[in-house]
Amino acid sequence: MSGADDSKLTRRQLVSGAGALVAGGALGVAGCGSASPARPIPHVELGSQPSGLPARQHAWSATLPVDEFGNAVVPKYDRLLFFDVDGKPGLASVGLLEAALRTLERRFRWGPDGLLFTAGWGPDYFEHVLGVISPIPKAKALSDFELPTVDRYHLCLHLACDNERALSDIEGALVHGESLPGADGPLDISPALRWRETRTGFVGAGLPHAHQNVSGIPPGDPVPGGSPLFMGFKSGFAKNQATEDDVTIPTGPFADGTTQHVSYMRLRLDSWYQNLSYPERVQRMHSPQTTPDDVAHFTDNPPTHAAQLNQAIRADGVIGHAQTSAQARRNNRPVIIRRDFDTIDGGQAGLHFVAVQRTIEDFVRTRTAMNAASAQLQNPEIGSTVNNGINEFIFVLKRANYILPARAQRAFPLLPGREQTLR
Amino acid sequence: MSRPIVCFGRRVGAIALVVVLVAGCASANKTSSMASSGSAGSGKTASGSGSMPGMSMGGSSVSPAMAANMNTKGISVGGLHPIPTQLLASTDWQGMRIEAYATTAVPFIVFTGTSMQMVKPTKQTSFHLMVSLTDASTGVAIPYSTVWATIKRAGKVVYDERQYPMISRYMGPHYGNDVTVPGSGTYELSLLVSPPVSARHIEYQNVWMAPHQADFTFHWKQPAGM
Repeated sequence: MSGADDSKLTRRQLVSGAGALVAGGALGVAGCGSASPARPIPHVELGSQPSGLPARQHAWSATLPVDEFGNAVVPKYDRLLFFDVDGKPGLASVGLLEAALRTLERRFRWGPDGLLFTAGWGPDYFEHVLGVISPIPKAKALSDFELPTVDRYHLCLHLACDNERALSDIEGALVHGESLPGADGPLDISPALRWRETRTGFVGAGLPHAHQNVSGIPPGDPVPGGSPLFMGFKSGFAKNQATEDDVTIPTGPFADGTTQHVSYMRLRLDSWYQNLSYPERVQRMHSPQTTPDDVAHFTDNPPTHAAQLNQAIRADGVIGHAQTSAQARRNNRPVIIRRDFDTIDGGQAGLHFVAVQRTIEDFVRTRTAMNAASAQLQNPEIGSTVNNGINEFIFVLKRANYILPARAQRAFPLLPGREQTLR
Repeated sequence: MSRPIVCFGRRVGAIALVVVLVAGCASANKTSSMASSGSAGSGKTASGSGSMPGMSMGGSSVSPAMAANMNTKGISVGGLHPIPTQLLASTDWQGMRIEAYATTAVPFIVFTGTSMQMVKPTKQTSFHLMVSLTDASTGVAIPYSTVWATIKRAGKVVYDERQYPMISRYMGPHYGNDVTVPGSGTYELSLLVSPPVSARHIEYQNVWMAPHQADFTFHWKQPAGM
């Protein structure tokens, strides 16, 4: 399978996550086609699982602290690890991965102060490894102004917690067999899964400000100190997200699972900060009906002014990102949960947009609404990337879709015979 | 005699150009050969290269519209005189000619909904990038597209911006923005051209239906004093 990039990082760069972030980011990518010699896959003890873990891998919300308005405070650091299945997987492969994930569950409490993670499987795993129809479609370009690489990785591990060093240590243990302090079971999954790429990032007040000396952010430290994201605005308000129940697959082999979209986009914020005033940035992020004073008083449900979109198009000549995205709501709620985070991978300001939703189509609908491609047919002053939300400031480089099975199905889902290994 | 118009389910409003160049960009340089080429198709194609004086080019050429204005002497716009413009790169895609020009950086006006904003080049601005999309056989400008330009040096992104749909006296409808690059050197330019969002006469029924990326190499020589 092929990834997005052929650039390589040394193993030292790869595992020194904290240092890499500070030094300009780590976009680790393994060489393509570097088929490793087949290694015997050890048979390991599965080990026990702590009681009380949710059946859903994506059940993170109950563990998150909330602010004074009830908005979840998400983990500060994230890491995406991408793998391909090495050779033909057998039951030992199932045991090896499941045992490693159980070791993590025993080592870290389920929550941002410990560790939250998901294992997602891509279309190529189902179609090329198992030879079955994929439960999710391949990703594709979602606007006329992007031409992304579509990742074809088999497995995406999304790790998140408040301790950046822990994420680095976990990666070293999973990928390179390094020891993880406090761990009491197997962690090295490299005999069964070939590491292909690592993406890193952060989200939370102060972190973007501290990492803004990178390409894509103009000089002068424009990112506000209290902003959780590079663009200077907060997202993920409590009532501006789908619920975990909303995004959970109700029936079938992936019941209690969900789907995940993972994209990587470059941020180019020179004109965002240099050509637009703060009120103009408010217009583009929210709506032309929104004022800076409104933003200062947001609690848990900022108004999107979705119903005034046509007025904005015709009378204001500018439309807002929240305003257009809200067109995809169902029962007045978004249909996706954003779990995105900023990045300085490769020394470049960017955003790893991770979202979970019941179907990939829900994500496509949301992104299509955000494009607002028809606005220019009503008012030619609004182009695809002119006066149209934040479309002109993000450039999508990579996209991929995964399915997150229920926790019990997370290791090599649908592989025949896997259940007997996990008994 | 009128010709049938193909509409792709999209109704188009009036003129869609939202940016106006304050200074013109006619060139006094005469044509010469261009070292770029491309092929029609979809996805990512084309590889060309160019350079320019001030940009150390081997040669340059200009569009028919520009050529018509080149011989105009003594014209000034807003107190600025015509600015030399050279071809940076060129390729064809399904009958669309994609050309990138570089000019001396100029101020331009952007309509931001209900107001206008002057965008002025800074001392660091290297040049003004102008991307021209025309019918390769007629030279007629193709509006209603979206163009995104990415410039890299040694694989590192140094510029990455969508280009404003823009009009000027000397270039007519085109797509442009001011560009800052970190000094003299060889750069890779990628242009992502989106399908024009418009009704179409029938000769354009089956072309430019998906985004297209054109890749080039050019050499930039920083003028003295910058």
